[in-house]
Amino acid sequence: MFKFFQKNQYQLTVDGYAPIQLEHKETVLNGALRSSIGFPHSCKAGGCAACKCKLVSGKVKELTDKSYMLTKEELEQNMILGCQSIPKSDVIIELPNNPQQQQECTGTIILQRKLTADIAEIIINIDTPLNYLSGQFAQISAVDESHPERSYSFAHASPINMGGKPCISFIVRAVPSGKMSNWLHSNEALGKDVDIKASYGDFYLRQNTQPMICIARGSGLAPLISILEYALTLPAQRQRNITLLFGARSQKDLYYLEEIEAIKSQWQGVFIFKAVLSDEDPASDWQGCRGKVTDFLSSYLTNACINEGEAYLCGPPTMVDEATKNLLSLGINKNKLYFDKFSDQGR
Amino acid sequence: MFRYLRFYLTTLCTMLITLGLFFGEHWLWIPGLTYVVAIGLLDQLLKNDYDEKPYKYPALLDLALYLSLPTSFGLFFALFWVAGSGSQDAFGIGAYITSLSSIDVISIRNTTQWYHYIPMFLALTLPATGAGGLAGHELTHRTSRSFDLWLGRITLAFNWGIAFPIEHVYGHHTYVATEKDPATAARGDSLYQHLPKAMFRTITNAWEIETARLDKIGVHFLSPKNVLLRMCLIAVFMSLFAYYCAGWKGVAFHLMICTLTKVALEILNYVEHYGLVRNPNCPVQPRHSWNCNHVVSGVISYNLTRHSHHHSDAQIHYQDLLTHSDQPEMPNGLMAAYLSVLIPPLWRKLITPKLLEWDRTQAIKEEYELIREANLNSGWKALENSITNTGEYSAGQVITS
Repeated sequence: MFKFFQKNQYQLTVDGYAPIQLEHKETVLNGALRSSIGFPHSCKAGGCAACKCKLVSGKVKELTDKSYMLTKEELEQNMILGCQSIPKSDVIIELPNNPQQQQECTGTIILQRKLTADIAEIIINIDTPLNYLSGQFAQISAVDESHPERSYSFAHASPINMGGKPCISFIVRAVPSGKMSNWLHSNEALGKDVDIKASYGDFYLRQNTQPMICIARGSGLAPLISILEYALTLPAQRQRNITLLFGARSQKDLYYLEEIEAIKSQWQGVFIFKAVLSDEDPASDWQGCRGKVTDFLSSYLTNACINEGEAYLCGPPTMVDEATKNLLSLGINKNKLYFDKFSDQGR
Repeated sequence: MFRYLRFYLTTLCTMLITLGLFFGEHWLWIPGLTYVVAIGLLDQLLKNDYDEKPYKYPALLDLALYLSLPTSFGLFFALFWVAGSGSQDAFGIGAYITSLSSIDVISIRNTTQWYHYIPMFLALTLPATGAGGLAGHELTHRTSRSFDLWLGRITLAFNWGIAFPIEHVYGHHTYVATEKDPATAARGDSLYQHLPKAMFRTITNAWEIETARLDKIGVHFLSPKNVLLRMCLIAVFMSLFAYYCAGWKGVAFHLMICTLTKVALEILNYVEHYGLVRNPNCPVQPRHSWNCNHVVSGVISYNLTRHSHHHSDAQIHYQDLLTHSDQPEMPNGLMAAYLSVLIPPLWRKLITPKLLEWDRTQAIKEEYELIREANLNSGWKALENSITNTGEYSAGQVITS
């Protein structure tokens, strides 16, 4: 008897992901997003075609006329708009190759701005603009060296201007015995060319009005700065309440404090910024928080943030794992935790 | 409550203007003229509207739009009735009004002098554009809601606006601020240079977009799937209705007001995007439209004045559009700017400093080359002072040490 009622619930399979049981009248896009599949999308109203995908098998009901948006080839290939398609049977969907992930260019290192003893901002002049979402990362390799390719997050929301040259920048920590990161810091890298592949990662700003807590350690601050700079350009986003916790070893390992203050001064919601030092000399003049950055979550997490807010975490795996554990135990929704866990080793 | 009711203002005023038409002579144009002048003046007097609070009952705001169809139809019917002569009295509406008001409206109509018609058409242009064009515009953007889309297209078709719903959504919004967009006026073009080009290209573009779509789905041009033909039928029906009410004079009145609303919508586009420049490969940003936060202009145009947000995300419903107060602002509010463009030397005086400011504070470096070219082609000497000619960098960009 129950089968009768379940008649309209179909199964959605996207690429290699596990099949999803769709809810009644749920669109392909919403089903995929509910299951945390990184399905590309933008307007959700059939007006941008960002969610176009291939209907490999099955039938869908289409809410809007896709033939204005898609090319003849795409129509012939049975492409559909994910946001405007409600399955009428079990369906299999294939996502197109993401053009965002197929950008390549060569740039020249024009400045290594020393931020702390082991962290520098590497500024690279590029000729062709790269599209990226704030919070995403690129893969970088040296043109003339055999050092392994490494991933670094874009450190700003938009290209910066250095003496008339459009530049992107990355915050790089020189990791002991890390060939690539030490080369990027070295004198010989200045003026050298690097290959850049972009843009990757699903660590980016989710646009809503809920409060957010951002936690960074070390060079993990870069994607958060990029996200905050971007949020500052959006009237609704800069009104969100935000807490930014920045972990470092000691005072001399802190950087970008002026940039953070500048963002804070233009922010329209409540903006709390705390630096937390783990190895600061007990006898020093430091008046701020001491200890592990993850130990301060309960002190700075408001009830509103626990109930409906989002958390953005970026830093070494131990920090991200511990922060995740603490945030979950405080009661934050695990679907609202976004993180970029980088491996600091060997960079 | 007033936050909702204000969006019914256009409908209410249009109804009053419509009612005036039945009383002939100066009542043909005084209400419409008062409406236009009042908007322009109140815009200057009242504070700007930066309200971005969400609305709890969007259905009430949808209803305000849905009313545009009957309102627009009512306005046309009254106009056709005015075109009638002798004993013509479609549906006995004149006799009915006479019985209610004991004013013999039919004989007043028959003795109204011809020279009242000229101000009447001018005064009706904006109300007809408001009820038909602006609400229709908002509705035709709602491509995923078939009822809204259908209603919007019919409302526009009453005005013979059959190219607009296709070209605007799938052409103008894709190509805005580039040379490919018929509606973006080039720097230096006066309204009268721009209008014929824009109107012609809107029609040919709509034709191209629709035939390309029909070709994609493998359907003949003469098919019920052809949206242009379907809307054309509605427009023909409206002209036939005019003939039924008042013969050829009715048809002439219909075509006259349709031409004027076409012109009015193109002037609107002229004001909204004048001289703005975009690299066709970069996405549309809020800065590619002239924004306006004057309250009355916003209310009567269903927030079309929040144009920066509308173009950067065309799927947002009008009540949810943000003010984008940091974006380039058109001079003196929509209505005042709208009237200014009719006098090209005045518009040039007003917009030149705005364009220079836009170059300085809004443009990004990738646009500089295009801006230099646009300034050169404009033939406006003052635009030589643009920052794009000095080699300095845009204030909008981050410069790190």
